[in-house]
Amino acid sequence: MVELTASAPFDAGMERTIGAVTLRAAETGPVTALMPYAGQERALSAALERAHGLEFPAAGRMTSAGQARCLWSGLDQAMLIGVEPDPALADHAAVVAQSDGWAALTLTGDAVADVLARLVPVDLRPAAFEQGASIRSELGHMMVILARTGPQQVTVMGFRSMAGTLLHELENAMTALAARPKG
Amino acid sequence: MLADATGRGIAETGTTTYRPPYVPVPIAAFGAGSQGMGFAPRRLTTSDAAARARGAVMIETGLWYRPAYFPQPGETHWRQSCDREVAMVRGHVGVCDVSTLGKIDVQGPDAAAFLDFVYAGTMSTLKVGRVRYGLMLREDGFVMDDGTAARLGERHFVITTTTAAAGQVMRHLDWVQQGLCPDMDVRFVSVTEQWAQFAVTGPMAQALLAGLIDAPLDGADWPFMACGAVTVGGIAGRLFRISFSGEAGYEIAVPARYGAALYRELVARAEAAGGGAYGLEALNVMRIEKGFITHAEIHGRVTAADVGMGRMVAAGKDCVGKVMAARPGLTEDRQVLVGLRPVGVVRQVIAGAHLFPADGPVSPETDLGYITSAAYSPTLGTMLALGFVRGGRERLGQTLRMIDHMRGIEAICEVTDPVAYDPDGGRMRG
Repeated sequence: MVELTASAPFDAGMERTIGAVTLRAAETGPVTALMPYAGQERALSAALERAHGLEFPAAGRMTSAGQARCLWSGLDQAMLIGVEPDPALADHAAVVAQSDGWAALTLTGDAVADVLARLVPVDLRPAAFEQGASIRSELGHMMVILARTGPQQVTVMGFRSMAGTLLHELENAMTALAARPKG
Repeated sequence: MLADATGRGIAETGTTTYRPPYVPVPIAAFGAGSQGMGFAPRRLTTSDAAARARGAVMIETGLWYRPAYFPQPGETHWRQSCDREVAMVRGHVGVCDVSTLGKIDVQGPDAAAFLDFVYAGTMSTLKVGRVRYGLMLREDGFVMDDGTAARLGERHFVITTTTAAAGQVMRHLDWVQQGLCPDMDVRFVSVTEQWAQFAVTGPMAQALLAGLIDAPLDGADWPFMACGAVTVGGIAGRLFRISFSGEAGYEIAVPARYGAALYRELVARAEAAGGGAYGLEALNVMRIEKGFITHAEIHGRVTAADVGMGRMVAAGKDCVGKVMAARPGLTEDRQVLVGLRPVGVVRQVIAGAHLFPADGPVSPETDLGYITSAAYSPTLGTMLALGFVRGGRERLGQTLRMIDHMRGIEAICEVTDPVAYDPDGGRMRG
């Protein structure tokens, strides 16, 4: 029998610090698109609560419980991350595997919002994009999902095929910001 | 300049109306912060590194980079590589990464009804485990895109789009559901990135895959246009028996993390069987030989009937674009898809060239149509073209005068059926 080896969008353990920001490859675990059918959002939320201990997120929000996170990602759509979806969820929603479609990074540090301000047309400063916020937007010319995952941390999820460009854009912005005189 | 060209004065010609921007805008301003490769994202397939390691010459299709051809030692011109790859697929087996085609997962109680509405054809009658070709029309009645719909369950489909129109189709589906069919209970999401998908094509495709997947691959269980779940080395994947080349062919999909490994395995096995990797040039030649359309043909100004698929617009149901496709001017005296091949002294046909009657004056008034795709067919030993000609199929067997005004090339060509190779499709159905 043939053995297929898995490859990740970023090298495992990749980490770069430029200026006041550290960029790391993030291991998301399973990623699943949940799309509740008409009138099923509350029932889906209850099923999520039972199976994984978290609710279906409101627009622009992220819910979390232990390893599991659920990030709002569009109209009638959220991404369940970090756990294999319970089969019961499919009673209320279209459940579609997305684990291999996304490349995730975390940005950590004082200047995360300043770096992302160069690339993303959304105010990502902590006061406007507080803990539990999740948004779908653009980064450069790419579609991404952004979530605040810590006081000084934002998680960025982009398409796997564009992982190289995502990394390049972020490193460029980090480098350019670090080159500016302080003060 | 216009005055100069027409031999009139500036006052007679008139000047253009001033409109913003009144001051020239530097091109750099349009580029904004984008520098170098940052101007547009690069989308790379999971087989990218393996293809480049084989010396593939890459070509951009949309944002994606795909191999155009794989030069072998001694080949100095792309046509040598392309001709070899075509013969390899037609004679043995070839492997091509087709992950760039858009893939959309469609689910819900009204999934079948929704697809009936967005496709010209009927998808609700499709049996589970089968694939059907489909044409999507724009609201104005012209063809928007083509692809396949595979039924994985009663309420579960995966549809494909062309590489170029993947984003447009997704946007269209969002609009149709939210704007035109808000009461339909259907959900969909792009899974283009989730699955790495490879075409395995040629007379030896079945033998190659039979040795790779974890269950027998019996021709009787997997007829032409079948689809279903398979496992490869214990990894859950999907198999589709579809073909864009006219040979017996399959497309096998695995989660993207296994794409690089599966591609290496497929190419190694194909090479052991006298085949190997092929690129877009060979793919293009083979689809022209078969008369299969791409966006060169469905360029936004053709109807389903123009491309010979008028009957595919199902009579018993409504669909997006059906009413507008019946407008006056879209139904009669149209330029229709035909095949063309050179029969005169000049053995050349050129995409973009126009077609005129064999005798008589050449003018815009006598222009009968134009060529959309052309290639040398190593299989048939002649150049072949697809194009649109007024009077279309009634002209089969007639000779027309092809003129490429830009290159100054003229040729006499014969109007043929668009399908030049294996017209009965026996090779494809196996």
